[in-house]
Parts: sequence; C-alpha cells; structure tokens
Amino acid sequence: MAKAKIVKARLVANWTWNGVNEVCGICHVHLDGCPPEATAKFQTPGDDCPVVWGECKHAFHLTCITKWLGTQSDSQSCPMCRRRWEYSG
Amino acid sequence: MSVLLRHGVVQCITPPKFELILSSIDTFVKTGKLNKGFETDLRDIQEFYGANIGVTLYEYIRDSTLNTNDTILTSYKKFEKFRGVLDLMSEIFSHDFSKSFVNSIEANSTLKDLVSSGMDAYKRGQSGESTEQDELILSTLALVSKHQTLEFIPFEIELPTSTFDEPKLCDLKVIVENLADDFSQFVGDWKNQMITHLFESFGRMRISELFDIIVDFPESKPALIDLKECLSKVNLDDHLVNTYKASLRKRLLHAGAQTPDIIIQFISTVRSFSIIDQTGRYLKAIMKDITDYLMTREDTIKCLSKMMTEEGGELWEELEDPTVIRTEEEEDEEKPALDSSKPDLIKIFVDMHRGNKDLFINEYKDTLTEKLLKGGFDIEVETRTVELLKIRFGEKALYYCEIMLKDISDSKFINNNINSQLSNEDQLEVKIISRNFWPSSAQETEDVTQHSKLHPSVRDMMDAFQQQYQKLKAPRRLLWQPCLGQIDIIVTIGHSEVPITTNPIDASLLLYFAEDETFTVPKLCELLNISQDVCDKKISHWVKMGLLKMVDQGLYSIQDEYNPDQNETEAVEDSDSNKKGGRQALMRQYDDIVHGMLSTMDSMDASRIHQMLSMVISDPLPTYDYDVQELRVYLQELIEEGVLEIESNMYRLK
Ligand SMILES: [Zn+2]
Ligand SMILES: [Zn+2]
Repeated sequence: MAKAKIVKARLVANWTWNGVNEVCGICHVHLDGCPPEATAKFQTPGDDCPVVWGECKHAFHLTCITKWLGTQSDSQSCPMCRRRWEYSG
Repeated sequence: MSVLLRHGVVQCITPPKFELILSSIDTFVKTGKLNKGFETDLRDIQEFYGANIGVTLYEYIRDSTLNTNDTILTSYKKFEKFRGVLDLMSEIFSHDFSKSFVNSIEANSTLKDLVSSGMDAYKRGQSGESTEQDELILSTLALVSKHQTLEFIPFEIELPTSTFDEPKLCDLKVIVENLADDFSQFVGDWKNQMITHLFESFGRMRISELFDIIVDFPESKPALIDLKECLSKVNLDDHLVNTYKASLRKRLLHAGAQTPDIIIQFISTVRSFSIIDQTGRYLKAIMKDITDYLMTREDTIKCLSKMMTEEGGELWEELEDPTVIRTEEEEDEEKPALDSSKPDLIKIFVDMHRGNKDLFINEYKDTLTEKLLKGGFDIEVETRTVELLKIRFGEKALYYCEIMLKDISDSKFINNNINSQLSNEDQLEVKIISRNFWPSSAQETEDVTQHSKLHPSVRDMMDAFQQQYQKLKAPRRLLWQPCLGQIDIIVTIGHSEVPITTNPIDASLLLYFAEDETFTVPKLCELLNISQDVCDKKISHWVKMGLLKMVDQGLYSIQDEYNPDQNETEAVEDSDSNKKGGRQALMRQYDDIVHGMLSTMDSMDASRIHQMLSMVISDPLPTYDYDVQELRVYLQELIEEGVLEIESNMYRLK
C-alpha cells in the first residue's frame, strides 16, 4: 500500500487588500501598489500605503482620499460616486 | 689615370705609390687578386693622404672601372680581409654612391649575409672566443651600418614569444645597447637607430600577439607595459588598431564564440588598453566592432547583468569599486568617459545600450526573483548586491528590487510569528510578495493558478496560515500562487521511500495517487482542476520517473516497486512515441542546452550542433555519445513540436 507525506512546503502568495484587481480611483495606481507620492519617497506598499473604504464601498489609498477631501471646501464626497464620504468600519 | 686627374687632390700632388695602389685595385677588381705588397703600399698612401684617400678612390672606382654597383659589392666583400681596406671603404661608403648601391637586391642580400656573420662573430666575442677574422667582420659591419639605413640590417636577436608574464624589453635593450657600444668605436649614432629598430620590431611582434596577451590579462601586464614603451617610441598606432581588429574578426566575433567569452575578452581589452594608452584612442578605434557585434546577440544583457551582480563575476569588482560612484543625480554628461586611468566598464556597457540602465536592472530583477523565491529567508548577499547597484544606478532604479527584498524580510517575520501560533514544526514556509512589484515571472498565469485545487492536506496548511495572516494583517489576505512554490514529499513505493521535490500541483497529484488505487485522467483533471493536456503531461512525466504506471487503458496507479532506470525505458516505449528507443528519448535531456545554443547562435547546422554538444555537455548530464544521425532524429522531433524550424539545413528557434 502506497503512502505519501509532506515534509516541507515552501509556498508563494501575493498579499492583497481586497483581492480585487482594482486601481485607486484617484491616482489610478493599483490599490495593492503605492500612490505616486509614496513612490517618490521610495515608500513600500502595504504598511506604508494603507487603503481605506468608504460607506459607499469605494476604496482608495489613504493618502489619496485624504488629499482629495482636503481640496473639498464644504461637502466631503466620494470622488467616484459623489455620495457623502464616510469611512467604513 | 686620366679620370683621376680631373679632381683636385690628385691634380695637385702626385703621391708616392699612388699609381701602384690604383693599379692594384684595378687588377683586383678585374681579377679578384691583389698585387704583392699592396698592404704596405696602402698604408703608405694613407699616411700621406689621410682622410681624402677614400674620396679619391671612390671617384676613381665610380668613374673608371666599375660599371655596376653589384660589382663594387663583390669587390668589397673580397676586400674585407684587409683592415686597411676597410678603413678606405669606410670613406667610400660615406658618399652618395652607397645610397644607390643599396637599392640593388644583391646588395641587400649580401649585407644580410654580412650582418648574420657579424652576429655570430659578436656572440663568439661575448664568450671570449673571437678571432681576428671576427673582429674584421664586426668592423665591416660597423662600417656598413654607419651608412646604411637599418632596414637593410636584419635585426636577429631571438625575441621571446608567447610568454607574457614578465618584462622582456628591458633585457633586450641592454643587449642592443651593449652591441651598439661595441660598435661605437667605429660608428657614432648607431645606438639610437638600433634601439629604435628594437622598439619597432619588438612592438610589432607584441602587436601580432596582442589577442593572446589580452586573453592572458592580467597575468600579461608585463608584456603590455613593454608594448607601451615601444608605442611611445615608434608610431605603430594604426598597425596596432588594424591588427587587433583583424584578430577580433578572426578569433572572436563569429558564431562559434560564446557571448560570455566575447564579453570577457572585451573587458580584458578595455583594461589592457588602459595600460598601454591612457588617452583611450585605441579603445575608441576598436570598440564599435565589438559592441556592434554584441548588440546582435540576444543574451548579451543577460550575461552582462549576471557578470555584474554575481559575487566573483567578471564585472562584480567594478560594481564593488568605491572609486566609481556615479548615481543618477550626480551624473555629469559632459565628463568624458575615458579620462581616468581606470576605465568605467559598467558605464561602457550601459552606454552601449544607449544609456538604458533599466535593461540591466530588469534582467537583474529576474535573477533576483529566482534567488529570492527559491532560496530561504537569508538574503544578506542579495541585499548587499542591491546596495551596490543603488550606489551605481541610483535609488530610484532599484526601488522595485528594494521592495522585493523587503517582502522577503517581512515574510520571515510573519512566518516566525504564524508558525509559533500554529506549532506545525515549520512545515510550511510562505513567501508573501507584493504583486505589481515583482517581474512577471513571479506572477502566475491566471488559467492554471487561481482555479486549480490542491490536495486537502496541502490546502489545510494553507488555510491555517491564511487565517493567521488575516488576524495579523487585516484587512489584508493572501492570494496563493501554487505553481511557484515547492513541496518536499516522501512517497513510499513498495519497499522504497522516494523523496520528491516538486510544485504544489504535482505534489497534490502524487498525494492523491498515494491515497487511492487508480485514477483516470478525467478524474484527476477534475480533482486538480487542470486541463487534460496539462494532466497528460504530468502523468507521463511521473510514469517516466518510475513513480506511476498505466494499469489499463487510461487508468493509472502508483508503481509497485520503485525502479527508476528500468521504468524510464519502459515508460518511453509505453508512451505515444513508440518508434523511438530509450536511447533516443534520453536525448531530451539536451533540450535546454540546444535551446540555449540556438538562442545564442541564431542558427546552426546539425554537424555544428553535434560538435558543440560534444564539447559543452557537463557534469550532471551523461556524456554525449550520439552520432549526427541520431541528433538529426532528435532535432526533427523538436521541429515537429514546433520548438525549432529548419531552413536550408540550418536549425533555428521558431
Ligand atoms: Zn491612490
Ligand atoms: Zn463612492
């Protein structure tokens, strides 16, 4: 009777914020990548470039949405759907 | 005597015995014999006339008896027995007439005879065995030398050839200077001419050997320093450039040379030329020939990148060199590249690719990917290489490589953390990489990866890891890349435990087989979620390896006993290529080599491929002992598979 056992597995995985192949609606860089400001500072993706979701389910790099909201004088709206921007949970 | 009377000296004085001498010479010229008492008469005349006797005799000879220069020479050779006559000849030769006579071929060869016997005489003199005859010959030689251009004197000192690891020019100069000193009692400025002649002939010799000297670099530095001295004394610039260009064409820049060899010779050429010439003009003259040729080879960038980034590679020391720090920001376009004594090879190679350093970095990224994904978590060497590349090419160019390194060091940390939670004895090790920052070789193609299923025992490990990762790094999660990983398994077959290292999908396939008796291809396709095509290939691979067998049409199971050698042959005969024997099938081991060869050479005929395979086959493969006919069958197989194509007997990659 044949049998087999695993001694060691060396695997490779990508990490992802949400698994969707999606770009940030503001900087048009992949959400798992770095927005241009971060690239210019040689920052690394992941911890350096967090992604946030709005209640509207749209996702952006934190730096991108912060910058966007900073340019909005009164209404804080999502740049994609124009709904009022609320950070999701 | 009427002729003589026209000239001043003779007209005024009628010297004692002068007529006797003249008639003696006259007789000598006509009959080759000298009158009795000639020497005594001659001495008397010399005392009387001093230096002028030569002029007188010369004019006499020119105008009266002798009509051709060749005859003069014959006479001269006969005269050489007499020292007194030599003195006379010295003066004779100091006149224009010597110039016309050396133009005759016979004069030339006679002079050569004279010189070679002179050399022998000189050698005997050096060992203390010289005779009076030798001294005469040497004096004669000295006299001739004084008035002849040195091209007529074959300079035959044995020149040392083919050893380049010690200076030779210095010793030769001493020999020649001594030689010249010995002659200097007869002649004055022979020394300079002789030394110049040495520089020229020695320089030409080293130039003819330049290709081999450069092959031997840096051991051949002494030969290059000798050559440098010659080049500073005589103008051999064009000769050097043309000769070296010709040897490059003949010996290097052709299909038979491997790209790394061409690059290494180029590197040595640059370094060698910087020794013989600091202005860079030789290099400038030959460089285009090599770089243009290298640009026609597809693997040039790959080789260069490897040589630069592998510790101990031919360009590694350039990368390590702290004196050449030129980051992008500091780079000054107007700085001439070759003004420093140490040539900047990396700059030369980047310039060769129109300054596109990203080509090098991208190539390195592929190398780095392979090293990082296949290796463990120890990335000390790679980190250092990236640091050096940063100094050279700037931080921006290495940004992605930095992220790749950080992914691995982050992975190490995360693995330690998660494995301590899971207490799974480090059975699983996961490299977590940032997509978009690794080259495409680290990204699986969609169709095989995302949908394939792995064996539950593998999946369980992955799920447990995923769970912990999500706890640690929420909201991030992992997208598995099952084709890239490797799993070590031990398969027990009969009485053997067979260790196998393979990708997760093949490992899963074997794990399934180890659980169940038999599988059909469609069933396996479903279990692993792979296409029938892919599945057929995997099965036939493991059959070939002696792990699986076909129990019935389309039905497979694990072998009863592990016996790889026997099974290999059976497997091939079982498979669809029935007509080919095991021996022929084994030629498939050369797939990679043939592919590599043809990507370097563009196209080759069968006998050339045969010849190269016989040479390059190395250790892990069995000795190549096929004949050309077997090779053709094998190549035909590759053509049928669409790997190769053939046109007028030349094979090339499709
Ligand atoms: Zn963004
Ligand atoms: Zn929105």
